[in-house]
Amino acid sequence: MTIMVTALKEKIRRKDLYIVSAIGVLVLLLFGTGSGTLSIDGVAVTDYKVLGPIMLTVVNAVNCMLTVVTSLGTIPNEYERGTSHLVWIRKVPQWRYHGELALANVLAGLVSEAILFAAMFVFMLANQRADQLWRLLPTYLILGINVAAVSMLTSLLSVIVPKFAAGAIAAGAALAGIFHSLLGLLKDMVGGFGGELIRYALKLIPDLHGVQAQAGKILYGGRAEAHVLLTGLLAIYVYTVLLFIYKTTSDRTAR
Amino acid sequence: MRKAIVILTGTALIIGVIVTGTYGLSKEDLAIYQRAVALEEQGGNIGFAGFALTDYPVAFYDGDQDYVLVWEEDGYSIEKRKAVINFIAATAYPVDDHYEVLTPTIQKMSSLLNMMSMGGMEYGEEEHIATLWHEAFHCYQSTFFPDNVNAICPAEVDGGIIAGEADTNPQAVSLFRQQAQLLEEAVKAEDVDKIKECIVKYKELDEERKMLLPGEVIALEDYYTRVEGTARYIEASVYKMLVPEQFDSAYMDVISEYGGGSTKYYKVGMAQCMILDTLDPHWKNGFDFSEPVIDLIYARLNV
Repeated sequence: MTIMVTALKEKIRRKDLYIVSAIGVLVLLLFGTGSGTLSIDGVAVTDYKVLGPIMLTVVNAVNCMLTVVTSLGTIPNEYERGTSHLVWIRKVPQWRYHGELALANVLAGLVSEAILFAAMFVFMLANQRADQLWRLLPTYLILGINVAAVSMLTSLLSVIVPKFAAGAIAAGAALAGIFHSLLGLLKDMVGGFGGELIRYALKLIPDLHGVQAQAGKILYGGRAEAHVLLTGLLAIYVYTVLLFIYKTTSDRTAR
Repeated sequence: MRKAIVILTGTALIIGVIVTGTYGLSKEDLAIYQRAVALEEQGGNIGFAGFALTDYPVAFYDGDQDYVLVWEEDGYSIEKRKAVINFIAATAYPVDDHYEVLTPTIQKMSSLLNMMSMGGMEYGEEEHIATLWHEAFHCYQSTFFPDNVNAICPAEVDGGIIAGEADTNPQAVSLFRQQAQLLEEAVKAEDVDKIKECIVKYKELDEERKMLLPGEVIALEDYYTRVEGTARYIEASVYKMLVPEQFDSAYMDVISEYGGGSTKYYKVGMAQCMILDTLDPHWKNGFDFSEPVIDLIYARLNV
């Protein structure tokens, strides 16, 4: 675990994680505490039951995109700096090396999620929901599935394709995952070749919106659908296995 | 050992995903079909001779497959098939040698409408049941009166001419608004004299308006009013049986609301059917779509 701990420490030292998280928290606090106004059809949205899911959507979206950013460079940067070479000569297997770095990415994503959840904490207190604060823990864990899925996908891509391409694909996949249900409806509306294309693309993209919807149900005292959560976990599993299986050459140059 | 753990974890996840997945038609959609069919015994055909929802298969589209429900003597049967049309639409559609009601599942339909209205439109089981009846009525029209329906206007007429001609002519729009208002008043009138007063004015405005628009627009308006208007009348009648307390706000109070496109003709067509109900409750028995409903009103009132 030394590799993972070192990589995580380095991430925590970097400022970008905190800057982006802070912006997210600021936005969330503006809406969540009534300092800012969100309106639909000219009517200010202040109801906890309406505002809560919107906040959760923002947390999910911000965190997924932030996770792409924080996960993207970890493995390629190691190759660029030549650190990987030092690891190879110590006979550390590649799957373990990549795996630990990817795990550091996941943990960094979970740290930023925790920072964003601080805003949710304040939001619930501001809405007199202190008795429901405990629900933030299962909500956090469920949204963590999205963090892990996006992070593992980004790590996997960063090993296979150049960093720029990996970033573009991972960000696109994360966006599509956030709008998964919307794309599903779009598929049904357009039909034809376009519809078929979206249909197959959606099968490859993790349903980040679906997982977020389950987190929302838990936050509001409902029951989550196990199927959606298990599908999210399966996506993480597939990305992880692919990351373990994929072999790159030890003298690989920086991508 | 490590490989075994990895394989076992993957297997467990796959089994979990399969076991917890919902397959087949949802209970909600099944309940919708059963409630829709049950209305038939309560007079859901509203008097149109030979019209029965159960004569037409109802296919629920879940985004991938159609679940086709067919009514048989001892209940219904369900069959899964490849979707006939791979997009969301509630419609009457020819399949092999017959017409079927094609509809998205309630989950698909409500999420679509919710998204399109930014959460401002509620669409539930009752609305979906009414939609099934609306589309089943189109199946009835196409099955029994295809020639009369097709004769109303050429099939190749583009619906866009409504937006391009009728909706952009300020005088025609103003006259239509007044006509729709008169129909709403007539529908809500409690005596025949009041209805006649409204219909006389309506006819004068109608003649004036027809001078303003091209013949193909008038024909298309007639098509929507006659074909879609009667289907909306069925839909409204079914909705009234299901949710009487919301019937006025959902159908009666919006007759004169003007909107771009074809929906306004659905509303005035429905209103015309309702007026005829007051004048002659048996008008539907034998109605074959060969003449506009408004002409039947004129004839009953000697206007």
